[in-house]
Amino acid sequence: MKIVVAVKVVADDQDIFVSGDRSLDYSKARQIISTYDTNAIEAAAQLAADNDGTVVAISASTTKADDTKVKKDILSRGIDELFMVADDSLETADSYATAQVLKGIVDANASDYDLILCGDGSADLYAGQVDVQLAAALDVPVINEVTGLKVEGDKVVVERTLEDEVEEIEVPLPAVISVSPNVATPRIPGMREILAAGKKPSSVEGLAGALETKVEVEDIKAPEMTPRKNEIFAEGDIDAFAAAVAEALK
Amino acid sequence: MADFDAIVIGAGCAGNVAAYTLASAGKAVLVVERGNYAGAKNMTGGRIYTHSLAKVFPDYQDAPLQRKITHERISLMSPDSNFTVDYSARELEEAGNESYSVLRGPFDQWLAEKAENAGAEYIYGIAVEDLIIENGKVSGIIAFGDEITADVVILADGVNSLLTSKAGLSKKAPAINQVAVGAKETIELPAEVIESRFLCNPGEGSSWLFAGDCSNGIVGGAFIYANQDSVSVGIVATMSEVLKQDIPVYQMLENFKQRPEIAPLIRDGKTVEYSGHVVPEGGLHMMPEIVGDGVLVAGDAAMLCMNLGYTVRGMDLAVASGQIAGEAAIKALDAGDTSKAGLAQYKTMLDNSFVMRDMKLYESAPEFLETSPMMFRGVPEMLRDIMTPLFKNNGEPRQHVMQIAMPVVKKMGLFKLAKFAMKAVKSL
Amino acid sequence: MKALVLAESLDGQRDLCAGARQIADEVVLAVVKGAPQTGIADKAYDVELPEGEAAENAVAGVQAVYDAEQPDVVLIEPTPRNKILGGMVAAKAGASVISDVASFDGDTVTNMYFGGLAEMKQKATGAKFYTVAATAFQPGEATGTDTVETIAYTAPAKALVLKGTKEVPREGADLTKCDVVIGAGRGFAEEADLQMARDLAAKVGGELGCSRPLAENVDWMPRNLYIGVSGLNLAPKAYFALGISGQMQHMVGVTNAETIIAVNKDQNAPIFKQADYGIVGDLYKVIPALIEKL
Repeated sequence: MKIVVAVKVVADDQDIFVSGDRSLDYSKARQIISTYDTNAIEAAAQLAADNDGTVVAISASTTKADDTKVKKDILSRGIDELFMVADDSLETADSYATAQVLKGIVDANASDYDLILCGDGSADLYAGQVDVQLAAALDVPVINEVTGLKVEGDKVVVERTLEDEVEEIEVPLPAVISVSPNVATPRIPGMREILAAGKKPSSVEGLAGALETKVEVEDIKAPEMTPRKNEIFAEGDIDAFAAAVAEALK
Repeated sequence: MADFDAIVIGAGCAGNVAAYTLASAGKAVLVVERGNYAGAKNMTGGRIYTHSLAKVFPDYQDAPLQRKITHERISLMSPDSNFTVDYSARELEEAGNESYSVLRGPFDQWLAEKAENAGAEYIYGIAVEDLIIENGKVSGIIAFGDEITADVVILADGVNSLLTSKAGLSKKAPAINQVAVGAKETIELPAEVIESRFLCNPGEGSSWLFAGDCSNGIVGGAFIYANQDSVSVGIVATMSEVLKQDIPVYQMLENFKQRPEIAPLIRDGKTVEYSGHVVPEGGLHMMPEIVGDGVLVAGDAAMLCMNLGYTVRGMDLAVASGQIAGEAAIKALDAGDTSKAGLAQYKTMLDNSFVMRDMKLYESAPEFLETSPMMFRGVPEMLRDIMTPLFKNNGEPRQHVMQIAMPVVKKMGLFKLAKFAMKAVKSL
Repeated sequence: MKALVLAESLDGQRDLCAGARQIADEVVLAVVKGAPQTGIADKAYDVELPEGEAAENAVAGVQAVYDAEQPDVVLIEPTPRNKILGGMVAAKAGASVISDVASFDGDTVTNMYFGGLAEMKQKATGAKFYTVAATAFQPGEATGTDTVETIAYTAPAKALVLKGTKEVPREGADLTKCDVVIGAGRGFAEEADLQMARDLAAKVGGELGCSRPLAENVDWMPRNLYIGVSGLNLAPKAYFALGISGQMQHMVGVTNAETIIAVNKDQNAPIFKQADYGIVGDLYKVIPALIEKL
């Protein structure tokens, strides 16, 4: 069985700071695997292991993503090979544009795939649309919010968890499936996995041609913080504090 | 056949240099660091004397060093006064004699990159839990159920090393009077502002150590180091003493920053980092055994650290001990004998180097500092009581220096002071 | 201007049709899985879905509505099913769906970046497809006719097969509907101590949520009660931040709260700059005292 997992590499938002002019300062932020993609990688790795299959990772990210630590991190999580296209125009690329690039990687390196897994949404844009766009581009079925998967011949039976109900759906392969974080807990790669990752194949290419964007980004700024009263009391003034709180609750 | 020739635990000053030394000699070496990047778990005041770094890397000037230290300042603080000595000398700026302020994140990463480029393999984010010991010989490491073997393991895992005792190397758990706890803030300021406030030329900076009221009179002190775009301000105090009084170390730091002598130095600065760390201050007597079957100990893990009051040294010792550990390991691997006997040359080489020579020289410094409370409460006040009358002119009758000084000195105890001074100049 | 609304829930249909009125002259509604409500759009489409079929299989019907109506803008209720149905139509139209639009300014729409750390202003260069919640619009009335057209079901070539469904009880309260929310952070040393926060919540008629570490690092509370980046975005009357440091990653989740009240033992914690009322103290002492005095 041949599984592909789409992975986005982003800046670690814990270390993104807001500058005085409300623009974002990424200078101290390292590149990491987008949070919910680690769950998708784990689901893909487990599925491959359980079904005697192979699993490769594909990624459309910025040139900063061509970073040894991040690539090793991906490969230390049960992934056999990594195919990456790196270009800075991909930083805020919309889902249509991103899907075209991912389709290109799949066509060139894994055209005989059975299943493509995606995460819930990326840490930066959280659009949750690349799965649909990629499925449309590849002309295959797609389903999202998947919290469990089981291979049954040329189909995958998924547990699909919505707010008030859980569906059991049979998906014909090949297909694109996007998984919720609950689908699998990402492993903590062991030393041997990390060492082995350094020896696994990975390729990074540039974009062949211009990006086909369908959305233009005009501005990115931190929101204006609502001005607050900033009335701060010391521990001894609990009575005054309680009175202020009671007043606010009215 | 072991997985690696050598495994180094810890990617700090000692670990990276050991790995670099081994990799440069063609040995297969693995470094396992528990932080997500080299330096993530490290902290220094701080300043590094680069003489030992230069011996390993002739291009050490390319390292992310902050400012060359051209002003050595020491201050004695009483609650309401401050006495500062500011020393600068051209000779201290010359190659071989010089020192630089440093920030560990960028610096440790530079060292790690050197080692990686020389061929060392690195694993980050994994804390080694235990050692593989076969027939009394250390032969590898264990973490989360994974085992990796090596002919020699170098422990460079810092002041809180638990592996030293697991390796069977005798190590007394440090007494609480042998460790100090330090808190530090990195405060961002523009380079030109730092240069005008600390009276330095571009690219140059100052080291400034304080003793006395800044640590509430207990053994320890405050420090300020000028980095390129920031200032490191912190407090270090002996743990046993901290526990006996009621001001937490972070509060001491707050109070220090607000002193009228200090506030102008950091005005309008932006605090970008808080950190805390433990500092081994017991000196020679705290050192564990540093050679065992298949194992060597370097850096802070070997307690190679000195606090002399007017200067603090740890990094130059770590770099040198890392290099020497690497060289001893190479010799042992080439000879096919990584037993305690085969690795014993580490201790010999270390003894013959400035590392143990200086550790031995300053053997009594920790005890002196601990048994001289007047250094922190007494001497600063004495200085205040002599200096203030000198500069106070209010129309009241004045006295000669002798008449001012004698009663103050007598109050301290002339004999007591002399004894203190003698001991100081012999221990520090 | 014509807007096509693709909605699922009753509230969603009504809120998005009302909102569509604010940006378009003509409003058309399409609903898969169940009949559309009437009187809220100029025209409504009932896209047929046979019993037992997966909703996503009705994409041809939604596509038929889109092709027939040729709307200038498509507003999609952001349910998982609609994200696929609407997303498929967008893909076919060579367009991207802009997700979770928070406000409109002509063709420029605003949504969140990095979970709320920043706001992004974007413009679709092709066809306009947006997923949007009711909060993006001013409150308003949905008006319309009773016209309903049925679109027959066409099965897709590679259909999903729905084998069964199970109802699942909701975990935890819906914090977005609460007037008062209590947030618990790392200031709580042990899970059992959260009872204090629950007691305070009970006293003030609020519900309990948490900061990310409690939902993801120590697993004391379910993930859907985590407030902040990529979690809940709330605008309650009052928000209590207990033992929460006030990092941006959490505070973006409550920036629209009317009043923010903070309890933290560190006077330098950033939370105090973002609070209306705060007290520097040990929450193990303050919370019981507060419960008593309120």
